[in-house]
Amino acid sequence: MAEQLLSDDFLRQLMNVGEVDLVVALPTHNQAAVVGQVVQAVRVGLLKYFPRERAVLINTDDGSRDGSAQAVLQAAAASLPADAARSSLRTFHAVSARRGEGTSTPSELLPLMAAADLLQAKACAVISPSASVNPDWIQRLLAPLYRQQYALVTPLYRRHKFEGLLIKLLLYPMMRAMYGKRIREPYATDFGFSGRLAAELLAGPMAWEPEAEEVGEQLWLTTSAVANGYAVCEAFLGAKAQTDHTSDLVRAMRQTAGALFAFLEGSVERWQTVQGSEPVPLTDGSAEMTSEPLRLNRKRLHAMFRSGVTELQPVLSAILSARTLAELTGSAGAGEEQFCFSDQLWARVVYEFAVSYHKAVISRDHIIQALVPLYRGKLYEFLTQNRHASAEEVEGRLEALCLAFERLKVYLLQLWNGQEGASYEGNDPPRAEPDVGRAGEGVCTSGAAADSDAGGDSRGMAHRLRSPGRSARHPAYQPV
Amino acid sequence: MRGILRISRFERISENAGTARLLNKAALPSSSELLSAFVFWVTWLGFFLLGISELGIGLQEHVSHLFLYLPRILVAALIVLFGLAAASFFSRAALLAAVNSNWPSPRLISGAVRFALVVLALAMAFEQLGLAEQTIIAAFSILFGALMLGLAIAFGLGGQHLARRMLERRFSREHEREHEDELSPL
Repeated sequence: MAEQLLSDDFLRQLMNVGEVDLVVALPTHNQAAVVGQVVQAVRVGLLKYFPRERAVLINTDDGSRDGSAQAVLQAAAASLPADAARSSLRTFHAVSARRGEGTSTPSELLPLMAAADLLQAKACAVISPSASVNPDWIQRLLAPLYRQQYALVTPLYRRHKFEGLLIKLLLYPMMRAMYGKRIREPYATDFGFSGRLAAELLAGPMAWEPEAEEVGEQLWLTTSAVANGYAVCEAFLGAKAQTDHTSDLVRAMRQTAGALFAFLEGSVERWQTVQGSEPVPLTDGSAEMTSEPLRLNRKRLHAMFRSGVTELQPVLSAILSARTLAELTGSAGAGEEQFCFSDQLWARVVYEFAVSYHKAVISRDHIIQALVPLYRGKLYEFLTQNRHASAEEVEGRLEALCLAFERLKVYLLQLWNGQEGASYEGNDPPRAEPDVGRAGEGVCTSGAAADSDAGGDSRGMAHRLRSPGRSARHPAYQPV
Repeated sequence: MRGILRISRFERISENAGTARLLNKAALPSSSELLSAFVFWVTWLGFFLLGISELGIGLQEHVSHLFLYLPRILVAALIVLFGLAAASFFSRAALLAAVNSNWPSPRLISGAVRFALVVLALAMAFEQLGLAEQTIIAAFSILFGALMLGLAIAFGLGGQHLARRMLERRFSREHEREHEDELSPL
């Protein structure tokens, strides 16, 4: 398997390196401006925290036109500051390969896993180049794997309350409900995995075709690790400069929801028995959320949700139950002032989509595309409800959403297993009327039970969250 | 025949291809029922014609012509079936793409795609049957040409402002500014 994933040139370079303890991988794509700085941070981090370990820096370049790969190798060969270089006990290796060239797969992650396996590395950190990378990241991503026997380290970032909302509103709640682990960034660009995890996953059956282009590989790694009972922890990395401004929501949906739905099929017997959820250990720091004002076009989201539900009726009727579709249609028909998209309705929508994907009622890619306008509706509701909310309030509402997903998992199981008369009654709190008192904000509450859960539950992330951002209310906030 | 189709999960395949929904919409029986009935009637007709042929009443030549024509009917039926399935798939793809890109009149776009593909499939089926070949090809060419010309005129005259905006967005930085409003979903 490893030989198929590595090109001849890449294999030759790795054989010249020999065995190592640590691998640091830097996937690049037109990032020459920052890779030099990142490589220096990696080198300093390795020398500072792992001075006696053998390490290699592996760059996989995705066809950069700005000389990113050359910049990595040049930075790796450049001399370090005198105080850092003094503690060096080992030769630092750096290799570079072009992604997908001479191999059977366009995958970014699989060749890195194969390389880590081939080099007998005990730990591997994958870092997406950005100006935020600092030497401490190396310690935070590698130490739990190398010194504490964890198999996977996922990051926690200091993020804006409205950043990464596809993960917050869909991926995190569903993964948490499915696998029972509260991993806040299951689809991260910076993470670490152990050599053992890489070797064992590569030896097992693949959850997707390695030739496939748009697959959430990081999600596969996280899902596989939690589904197979590997030890997973989180590490706080601080702020992360956004490098991948993916505004293509359909693509993002394919990589996240599409991948998650697909991976559910490969681990049915594992997720079906999971009940509730538990936090994973956080090795360093704490989750942080900022709440600076942002200019957001909420009206556009609302309009796209409305038109999506109206225009896609024939498609949605093939995917959703009649009752769910009726509720969605009702939401779409309501104006902005009366808009309501409860957590329970969103959880049911996502679960019914997952089951339709499983049963392939129509083309699976079409199912994923049909979810996009509905996500926009939930996004609109979330943005409206939380536009003045503090980080703690946002965290509480996300916790309520997650609990709705966990409660309604029974409904998913009934649908998945084809039980006649599947019902969410008893798992779905009575739908609340739109909050008249906050009609100006045009939102509905998430349901009485959900709210009480959110208020009373301190098992989630809320208890270890602090807000370094500005005060909760921002008069400067001006929705577009 | 029904047993074979059940074992080979023909219904499931048909559902995945979208054919089942199409047949349902057209108030036709399920795809396996349709195929079973088709095989039944072809077999029945075959034996019926063989019987007539054996009677020796001078119909042998016509019967043999009919037998030679049967494969063409089958191929034409398959073309129509696949054409309907393709029309359903691509019209849905167009509908989803139009909705997610916030284009105006997504159902019109989807309907146009479906109509074009159904017309194409029917034209191919008629050509396969050898029925009014020249007429069908001419009609199809005229229809397709008229459609394209109509779209071009409609876009050029009725949508000149839209066309200008699209070109401006394509070649200016306005496009980037619009995306600054959007959140990174990941």
